[in-house]
Formats: sequence, structure tokens, C-alpha cells
Amino acid sequence: MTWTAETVLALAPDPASAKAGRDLAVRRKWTTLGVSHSVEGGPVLWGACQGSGIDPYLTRADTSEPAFKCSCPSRKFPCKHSLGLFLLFVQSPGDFTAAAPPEWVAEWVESRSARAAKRAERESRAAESDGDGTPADPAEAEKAARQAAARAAERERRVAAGIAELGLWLRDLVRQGLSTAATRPASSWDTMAARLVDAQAPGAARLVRQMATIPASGDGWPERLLDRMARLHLLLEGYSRVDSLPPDLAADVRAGLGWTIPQETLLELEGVRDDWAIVGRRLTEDDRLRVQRTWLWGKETRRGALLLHFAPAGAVRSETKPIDPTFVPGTAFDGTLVFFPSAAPLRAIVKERTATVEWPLGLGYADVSEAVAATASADARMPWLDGHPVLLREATPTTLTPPRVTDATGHAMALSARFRDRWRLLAVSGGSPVALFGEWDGEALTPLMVWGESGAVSLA
Amino acid sequence: MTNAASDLAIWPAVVNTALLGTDRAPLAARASADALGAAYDALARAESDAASNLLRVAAAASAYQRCGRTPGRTHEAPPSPCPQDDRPTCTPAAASLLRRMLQGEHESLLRTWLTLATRHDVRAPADALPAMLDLAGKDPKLRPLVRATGGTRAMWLAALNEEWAFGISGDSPEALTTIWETGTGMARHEALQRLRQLDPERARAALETSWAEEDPTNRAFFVATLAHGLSLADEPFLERALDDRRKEVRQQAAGLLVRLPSSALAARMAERARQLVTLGRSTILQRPRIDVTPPDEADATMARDGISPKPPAGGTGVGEKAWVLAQIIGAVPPSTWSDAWSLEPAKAIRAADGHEWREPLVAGWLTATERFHDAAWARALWDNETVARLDPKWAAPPLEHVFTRAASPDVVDAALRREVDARQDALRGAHRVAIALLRWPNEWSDALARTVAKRLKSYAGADRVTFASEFGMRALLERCAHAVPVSAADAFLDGWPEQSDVWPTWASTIDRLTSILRFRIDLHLAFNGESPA
Repeated sequence: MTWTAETVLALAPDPASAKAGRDLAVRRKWTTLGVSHSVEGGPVLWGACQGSGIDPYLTRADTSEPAFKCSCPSRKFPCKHSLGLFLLFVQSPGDFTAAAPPEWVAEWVESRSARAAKRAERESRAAESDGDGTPADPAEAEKAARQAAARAAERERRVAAGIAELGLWLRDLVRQGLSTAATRPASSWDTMAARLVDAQAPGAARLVRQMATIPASGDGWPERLLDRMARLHLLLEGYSRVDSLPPDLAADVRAGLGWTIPQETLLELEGVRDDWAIVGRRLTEDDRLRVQRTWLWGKETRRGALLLHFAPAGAVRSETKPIDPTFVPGTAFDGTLVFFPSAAPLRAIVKERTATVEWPLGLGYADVSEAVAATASADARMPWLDGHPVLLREATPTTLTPPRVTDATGHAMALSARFRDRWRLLAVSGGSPVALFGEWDGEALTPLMVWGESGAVSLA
Repeated sequence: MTNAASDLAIWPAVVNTALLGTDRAPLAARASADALGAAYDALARAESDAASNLLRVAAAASAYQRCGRTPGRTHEAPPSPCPQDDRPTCTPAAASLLRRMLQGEHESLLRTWLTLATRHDVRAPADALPAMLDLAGKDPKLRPLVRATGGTRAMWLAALNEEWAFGISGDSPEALTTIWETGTGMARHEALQRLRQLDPERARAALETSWAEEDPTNRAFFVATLAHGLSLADEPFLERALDDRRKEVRQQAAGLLVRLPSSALAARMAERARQLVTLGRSTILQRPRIDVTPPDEADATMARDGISPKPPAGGTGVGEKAWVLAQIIGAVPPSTWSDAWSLEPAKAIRAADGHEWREPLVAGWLTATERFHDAAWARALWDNETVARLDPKWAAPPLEHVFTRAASPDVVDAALRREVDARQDALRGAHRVAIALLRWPNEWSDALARTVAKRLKSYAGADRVTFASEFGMRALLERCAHAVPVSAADAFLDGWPEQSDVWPTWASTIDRLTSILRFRIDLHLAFNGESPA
């Protein structure tokens, strides 16, 4: 990708680092500045920056990934020196002397390419043993395959046991009544969730943990709780006859319970190439995990797609710092996605990003009716969907409370109670129709992006 | 269970049963011909336990509802669209800098951004308006700039949010008069101020109308708003305010009347001054000699004209006669003396040197020079510091303040540059040049900025001045960051003596200075249509 000051600064782990990086992006802070174009990939940069100590900090950056290394003691990554070096290069490449990398840079480049080579070798070996390539020792291979099959069967057995227990637990709740369930301590939900993790059904565990918060969530909680429980129960019943389900729906059941599909397997599936517009991004965090939800919309395919990126909770201090900053909302790329198998495919991974392209015009649903019909149809195909991508070409935010958006036909979508950026949405719209993207849960829309006269604006 | 007409009644019934628990309230079977009814009957009668059946029915009903959802309608009338603003939006680079400031980076330059945008007649990006209106809510001084750069969109938005009401009351004298008549507290005060800017006559008339009912403690504040757009038309009202029971009100009104050269009060003051101070010639050297007839104690008419009879607490060592004399001289234009005596200001000032009444004379001149913005006297006082320097107990404005406020900007700039260049200690400690640079609100000339940079570099280098030992240096560098013109920024960005052994004591503050300067350069470039380098 082409790096700009903004995309470089988006790599910063927190606003303070971004600012410090900006302040270091000055020629006079550096005693040496070099660049080499001879290394495969992007240019490699290096520089020496005088800090408070006697020895200058030695900073290296490979702009292709990007990757950084710096001799400073900072625990932030990338550190301010790395950011400053990269930023200075983006802003005034003329300050860098083209040269062969000095030893301390060359060593780093070599160690990185050695690691990459090892990784590639491992991957190709793995691919070989999966494919038709005949392993060296047939007896060894047969043994390995037997072991893998045994592990898979063991997991199936444990999951089956776990969900049998969960089924019993759910039925107990219903027998005793939800009003009794609401008085249970939070720990009883946690205990059930922990047993499901032990049973290797982390997806089901997550659904149980989410249910724990519903009784305290205000008006309408019995409906919401029963809805969750019923859909979870449906998942369990689906698993009990997963072999007789259509393959896509079976994949949804297994994904819902927590089976994951290895990336390599996914990448072998057929991709969908299109101009993909990045229409929204949301970061969520619970006590275990930070999740970046990046929403895409295809120009020709006219469908939404969801990329998920994960990081351990607390790894990065800033709440708004993206996990993968290279997907910049408001930009578009020509590329190939692979959708996870599903009766209503939504989640995807990027197989290939070919080039940055112009923002495609005229994306999205014409009005609220079309959006509701499309999302309801997805619900009909796949009962465990939670949030739908909704991109409206022309929606007008209303000014009264409760907040809504309306279309030209007078149909409306309520805005979610957790949406906090109403005033910015109104400011951008000015009372006129705007293009709007949000997550629609069937009841309310959480806007994530709006397009005004000065382009895309992210909302929180 | 009700025999409901619609499939949709099934869901509430299921929820109700689930709440109570199937042990207590079994889910009743229900015959129905419609789609969900049929599924219901099949599921609820299945050969399973009641709880499983309920969960199955609930899953079906939930899916049924979700899949059959139709779009909602609203009867809310669509909002009235914001009127078109014909001015262009600022450049994307300028918009991005504004967003960074609104997130807390270099907030002190927000006013610069707004001023540049106003000067270039461009609008702020719409998404920044809520944050800008919030800031203007806290800082009334930003409001005119926010209104100007926010344009019609900001007004439209402000009309929807009570906290931003100041944004709409904006520029209509009618709306401001209404706030004055019906509002409370600060809102009234601000409305009066704004109205005075738009229509001075109307503002004074509004104040006069309600004067009798105004809380005495507020009256002085309200009178002070008349300072803007002051004219002889205000005199009758102000003259009446001189009879107010509150001293603060009287003094405020007198302070304004003094500034009206043809007011009756100004004439009374001039007459008093003439009686007290005259010019003679020394018999031996024929030098100008100032003759002072000490005033009697302040009488009731003086008190009515705002003269306080006794020095305030802290003015120990200031005699009552001298105190009254200083106030009277402070109330007449200093040009009165130079004109009447046909004497250059510098000569008049030197005539006070060693005078028995030097201090009250100088205190009065300092006050008057600042009050009447007399550039010639300001310069003469600055050039005769030995005479013009006064103990703070006289409560006169400091020399640095008088000079920078009253002398012409070119003169201030040139004088300060000369001194920074000539005097090694000009920017150190409590030197008057350092103090004047801090107090002067204008942007510096390119030459002055470069001279200051050179001097600072020699402190951090050859002079080996430790930063921490310099009282006021931090404030001076902060001032540099904002007062240096962009054209001279390069003098502050590079060339610091980084090898000097005292440099580490300077480094972090200089870094802050250069960071602000670079941001200002970016601002400058962004508004001139170039993207920041």
C-alpha cells in the first residue's frame, strides 16, 4: 500500500506516541538517515536518533509490512522513534541518503527474511502433507492421520457432552422460570460458560456469558433473554443432527459452537473478487478480547462483508486504536475475499488486496424497505445472525427524540441507545439525506459512518 | 392462553410462560390454521418435556418475527434542511488539523485556526461543529469566531440543542433584546454585550429601561459593557449613573466619561488638573519646571466623579493628596500637558525627574497614557525609564504594559528588537524587554523574531545559562511559539546549540516550542491550499 502521514500515524499505539512520533519526524533529530531500495519488498529505512542517553537510538523500519526495530527501551510498539523515522520518510524522502544498509540494519533484514523463509517452508510442508504430495514414510503419515482423527473425534465427544449439559441447564432455567433465573448470581452463568470452554465449545460459552448481562439490561429483558436462550437451544438441537443439515447450515452450527476453520483451508476456497469499500469499523472489548469489526461493501456483488481482527484485551492502551490499521474506513480496494461457509455468508477474510481504487459510487440500499427485506431474508436463511450491515444511500437523521433515520418514503429505523454521536451525525446531515452505514440488529441501527459533503466521517 | 387473532400473539404468550416457568404454567396447546400456529402445534405437542417444547416454540416464534419484519414508519415531520452556505469548506488538510486540535492536540492554536478560516472566508467541516459549539459554550470569546466559521450549519445545529442557544441568538438584535428582557444571569450580560456591538444605541436604551430594577451588584458589570462603541450619546445616562449609591457603579461610569473628551466630566477633570499643575521656568537654567499645588482632600464632587479619597489597602506610603493628584492627572489626556506647555513629552517627563511630586505625576501619566492610547507619551515614558519606573504601591499600570498597549506597533517592535540585540540580559529574568514581549499581544516582525532566536541560542550555548534558573523563561518560550511569524519559524526550528553542556536543561521546552511552531506552519500551509510538508 501507499503510505501517507495519516496511515503511518494510525500505527501508533496511543495518541501520545503519535504526537511524539510527529515531533521526531524532523531532520535535525536524526544524526544518520538512510534508505535502501535493494531489499526485496518495500524500502528499508534506518536512522540514529539522539535520546537522553549517551548512545543514539538505532531505529530500523521495513516499509513493506511494515516492521520496526529500535534500540530504545520503550515497551510501546511501534515506538516513537520508529514512527518518527517512518513519518519523516513519508514526508520528506529527500532527507534519506540512498545507501547499502549498514551492518546493524543488514543483520536485522537477514534475520527477518530467514524467519520468513522458515515460515514459508513450514507452510509448504504443511500444504504438501495435506495434498497429494506423498510423505516420505507412509507408515508415519498414516499414524499422524490416525492421531488427528482421534483428536477430532475426542473433541466431538467432549462438545457433545458439554452441550448435553448446557441443554439440561437451559431447560432447568425455563422450568423454574426466567424471573427465578434473573435472581441467580452472575457466577452461575460464569460456571456454565467455563464448563463449555472446558468442553471445547467456546462459541457456546460466549453466548452464555452474553446472556448473563441481559436480566440487568432494563425493560424488555425477558424477551431478549428468551430469544437468546431459544436460539442457543436451536443451536444445540442443530448440532444433534448436524450431519443431516445442508452443508452451509451445518457450518453455521459448528461455527456457532466454536469450531474454527484454519486459515489455510479457507484460502483454498473460492474467493470473491470485487472493489470492496470499507464502510465502517467498530472496536469492542470485553475482559478477554478486543475485536475489530471492519465492514466492507462490494461494488458489483452489492453485499456486505465482515472482517474480524482479534487482539488480547489490554494489549493496547488506547480504546480507539485499531488492531489492523491498514483497513482505513472511507477507502476502497480491489481484492479477493473468501467468505466463511454459511447459509448467509457475511464473515470473510482477505485473500488478496490488489490495489487501492476510487470510492465506488451509488453503493447500498435504496431505502429502508429494501434494507429490512434483505436483512430479514438473511435471518430466514441463518437464524443465528446478530448484526446486519446496512448501508443506506439516502437517509435523513431526525431531530426529535428518540433519534431515527428516515427515507424518502417515510419509513424509519430507530437508532440504537448505545449510539453516542448523534450530534455529529446531525451536523454532517444538516437535515438533508446522507449516505449512512450502520449495524442493524433488527430493532435499532448503530451508525458507524456517514458521508457528508467533505467525505466519510466515522461515528462512535 | 388467549385465542389471538394473529400469529404475533404467540410470542408474548411464550415469554409469559417462560417468566413463570413451565413447572408452574405449562404452555397450553393452541390450534390455529396459520403458519406459525401450525408450527406451534407441531412443536408444543412433540413428545418431549415442556421446557424443550417451550424453547423450540420460542425459537420458531423469534425467527418468525425477525423474518417477517416490516419497516417502521414515523409520523415525525422531516427536519427543515439547513440553509445553504455558499462559502467553500476549508481544505482537507485544514479540516484534519482542526480535528486534531479538537481532540486535544495544540488546543491553544484553535483560535488561530478559527481566525485563519474567518480571514479566508471558509467553513469548518460539519463533523467538527458539535465539538466547536461545546468549546464556544465554555468560552464566550470564541463565539463570534465559531459563528463565523460554523456558518449556517452551526446555527441550524445550535437551534436543536439548548446548550448551544448562544449560537443562534447570534446576530439578531431582536433576539438579543428578548434574552435581555426575559433571560437570567450570564446570558443577559452576554446578550447585552453582543447587542452593544451590533447596535450601541439600542443596547444602552435596553439598559436604561430596566436600570431601576437591576440588582445593584450587577449594575457595574452592565455599565462596563458600554465601553464598546462609547459615544457622547451615552453621556446623559452615565452622568446619572454617577449618582448611584454603589461606589463600583460610580467609578465605572466615571471611567467611561473620562474617555469622552467633550463630556462634562472630562471638562471638570481638565479644570481640576489645570489648577493643580502648571509649567514654569527654572530661574537659573531656564529649564521647564513643573509647579504643583497640592489638592485639598477630595470633596463630594470629586467623589461623584469617581475619585477615591484614600489610597487602597496596600498603598502604604502613598499620601492622600498625592493619591488624589495621581487620579486627576490620570483622568486627562497626557497630550493636554505637552500641548499646553508646547513641550515634547520626553522633556515634560524629564521635568518630573527629582520632583517632590514625581511619583503621583508619573502614576497619573502612566494611567492616562494607557487610557488614551497616546503613542508619543508611551514611547517617551519607555525611553525615560529612570523617571517613569514606579513602585507598585501606586497601582499604576506597569511601564511595559503602557508601552506595548499605547505605543504604535512599529515603534514597540523596533525598540524591543534594538534592546534584544544590544543587551545580553534583555531576555533574562525580570528584564523589562522580557516582560514587554510577554505582555505585547501582537505578532512579532520577522526581524524581531530572528533577533530573539539568536539571543536565546546564545543563552543555551555560549552563555551557558541553565534553563531552570531563569524565572519566566518558560513563559517567554511559550509566547515565542505563538508570537513568532511563520516566516521566521525556521530561526527557531534549527540551529540550537545541542552540543552545549546546558542544552539538556533546555531541550524539552525547545521541543515543545518547535512542535507548536511546526503545527502553525502546517496551519498556514493548509489555509493556503498546500498540504503540510
